[in-house]
Amino acid sequence: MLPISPRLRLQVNLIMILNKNKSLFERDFIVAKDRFPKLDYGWNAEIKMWVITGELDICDVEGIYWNTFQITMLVPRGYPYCVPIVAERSTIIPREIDWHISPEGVCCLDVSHNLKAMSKLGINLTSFISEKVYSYFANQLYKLEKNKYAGTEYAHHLDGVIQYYAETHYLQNKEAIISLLQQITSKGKIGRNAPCPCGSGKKTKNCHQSSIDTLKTLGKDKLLSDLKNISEIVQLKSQAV
Amino acid sequence: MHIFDDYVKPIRAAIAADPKSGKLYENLSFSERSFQKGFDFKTFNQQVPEKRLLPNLADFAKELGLTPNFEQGLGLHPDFAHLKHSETLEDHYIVSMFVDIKGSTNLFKKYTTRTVWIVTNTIQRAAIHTCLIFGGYVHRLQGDGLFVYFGGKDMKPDVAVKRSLQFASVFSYFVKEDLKNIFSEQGIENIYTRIGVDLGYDRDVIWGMAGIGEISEVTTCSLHTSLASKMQSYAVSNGIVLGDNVKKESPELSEFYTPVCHRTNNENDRYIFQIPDERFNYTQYDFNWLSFLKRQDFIATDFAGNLQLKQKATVMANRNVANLAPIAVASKPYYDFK
Repeated sequence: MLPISPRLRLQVNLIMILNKNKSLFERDFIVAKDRFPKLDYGWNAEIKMWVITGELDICDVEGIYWNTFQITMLVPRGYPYCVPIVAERSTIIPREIDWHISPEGVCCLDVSHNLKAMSKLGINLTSFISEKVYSYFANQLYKLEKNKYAGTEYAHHLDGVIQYYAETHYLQNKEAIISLLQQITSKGKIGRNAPCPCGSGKKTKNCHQSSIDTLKTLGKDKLLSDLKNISEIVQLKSQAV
Repeated sequence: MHIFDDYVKPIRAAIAADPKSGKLYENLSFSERSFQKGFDFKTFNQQVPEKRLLPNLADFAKELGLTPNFEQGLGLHPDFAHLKHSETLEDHYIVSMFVDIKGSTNLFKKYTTRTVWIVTNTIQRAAIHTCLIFGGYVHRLQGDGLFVYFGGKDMKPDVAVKRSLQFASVFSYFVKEDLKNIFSEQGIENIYTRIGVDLGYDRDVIWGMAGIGEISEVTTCSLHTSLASKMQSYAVSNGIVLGDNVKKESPELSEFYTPVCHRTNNENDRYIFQIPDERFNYTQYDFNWLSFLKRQDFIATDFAGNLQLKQKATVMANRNVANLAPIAVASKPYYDFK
């Protein structure tokens, strides 16, 4: 056998350096590929995003295979602090509003507030695909069989946002949402011992402190937009009365 | 994957019924007792028929759209049978594969010879049946293992290479996963495979009769048949090592090949064969068969990461939408497109 040549040693070193120099996304993709082996990735310099394409096979908890979706995922270069966009390239899901998919196949995996909050903490590619993407497609297959989703769904557009505030932050009416959003977006600080902005009469720390902390991570623009949209609905309603 | 479940059953039954395994006779099921008490070749043939695939493997073959050819004889590849008792030699490519099954000697420590016979023969029949599904030809039985060919007159080398890798991967998965479970439960050392594969092109392979009279076979004389055997000994437990020609013939699979020297950290292991005067350096590669298998069209990786057979061709009587619910319920979709 021949001894190792300097050229070969160089090649081996180069491979090791290349692996070490892989970005976090690329390293995470290697892990994700073990679970979702029919996905591949590439870098699109034009849109400055990682593009994941391929097949996602869906099996049930008994391991029985159901169907395969052709998907594309766009992952912004800010990974892990980002919200990937997921699209179905096959056309198994009907392109209708009640199927939570755009005519172009873009999948609405969750209310944008949840996705944004998740991105602020940093996502993990394998967890994102398991928890958001795989379950979304499994749910679509469930609906194709049963004409309904396995769990609950958000209402469309602004109604879904209001539902988010009600279900995630226990703000049961629009006035409470508006009051909370006004306080968070105003310049003044909400004291932990001050009365909660929701109007419950409890101290904030015993009421909506955790929600306020979460909502703040969504950014002022997002909260102001929600405040404006929900306030408009309330005004329209009061005018109608 | 469940495709070998029907082959696992007789092995389990034989082990459970073995007098040395310590299970009380009164606790044995009827089928176990039949192994224990009235064991004969006929009983075994009923459990694992010679020329019929067991149901799950038959479903698998159906899924692949492949039909096994049971009408083969050892040492007489159907496409070269005319060379028997002739003085003709023929140049024709072939993929040679050596499947070695290691660790079966350990079975004698714990089981009777009859039990060992059932276990090893069931494994061998599973290997033969799977090989035939993928269009392989079993040239020779070697102990518990096999020497098989892939390819022939009506198959192109790239197809033969792909089929050989599919067979090797599916069979390795059976031994690594299904058999491991049985033997680890029994607390005995595991049985594992080591596989070597290589392709010799037309210019590299001579087919002809070897031996005399009826003490003969139609076989290949090829560096690459010899190397396949040699590479098998370089494979890790449940590993597959293959040669440069296999890699060349399957460029789309290059991501699954790693030179053996990367594993051993010994540059001397890079080449399995060299002719320095001719600057002929023949590289051997570890084959990442599990990743390859996961990428196959007939395989799906389930939510728990286990490999499952995609059954589209067969009616899934046991498919129940309620089993999708635990995964689906985690999704709560929204819609905010204009």
